[in-house]
Amino acid sequence: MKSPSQRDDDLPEGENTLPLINIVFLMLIFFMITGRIIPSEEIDVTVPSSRQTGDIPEDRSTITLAPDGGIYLGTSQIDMETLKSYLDTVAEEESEITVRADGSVSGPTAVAILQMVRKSGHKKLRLLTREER
Amino acid sequence: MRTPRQQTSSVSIGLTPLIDVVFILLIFFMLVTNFDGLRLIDLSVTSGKGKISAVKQKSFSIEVVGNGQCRFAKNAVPCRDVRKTIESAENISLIQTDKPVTLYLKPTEETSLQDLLSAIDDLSASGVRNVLLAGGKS
Repeated sequence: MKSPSQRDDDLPEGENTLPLINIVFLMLIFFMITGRIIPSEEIDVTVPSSRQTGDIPEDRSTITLAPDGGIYLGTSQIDMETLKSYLDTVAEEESEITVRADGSVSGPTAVAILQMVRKSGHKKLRLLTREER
Repeated sequence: MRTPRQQTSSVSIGLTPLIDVVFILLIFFMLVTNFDGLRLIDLSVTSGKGKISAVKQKSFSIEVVGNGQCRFAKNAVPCRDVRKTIESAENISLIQTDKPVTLYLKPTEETSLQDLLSAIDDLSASGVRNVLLAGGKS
């Protein structure tokens, strides 16, 4: 009678790795279909969660509000005055502004910045959120 | 002497390079894939000009305290019960279509952005749609 190891040896070369390849292929397909590749952001922000539904984010002009209250345009930190002049500049070109803010940012600060965006003439103001599960 | 058929039957395709590539692809996708469902939501904000009382439309001002608590007419109420509280206190319907009622959400100094969004979620779950974020001065 053959032992289990002897039986494996009897298999043609490569055939005993087929279940492994199958599983790896299935995992690869799972990650490719269910996940989403997003570029890593330089400013670390934990966006707030919300039960509201919305669109999937695209690349648009984004203002970032960091947990420490810093305002960033791209990767460079700016102050309120610079933000105001930037918003006035892009108001004619883009009607939509996306704000990426940390959930821990103070409410009055966040609202003041959102109001500034609204006042500068941008019709659509959108906030990046995480889907609440 | 071997026939050509005998020669081809002995040739086997090596699976090792295939497995290598698939493993590398798998590791790549495992590292870069993000499962956070990021969404863009539309926010309604007051422009910050003028006083809320100057608005002709019927409106109420709600303070968001945090931890699911709101304040209406200086009384603390859970944000999900704000609609019920206003409707019973003012004897009106907040979701009537002919006379839309606006709720202005004002954060306190201790309120975080997450608290504001949770309050909007609670109000939305209770059927209130006309919600605007307002600052302290508006």
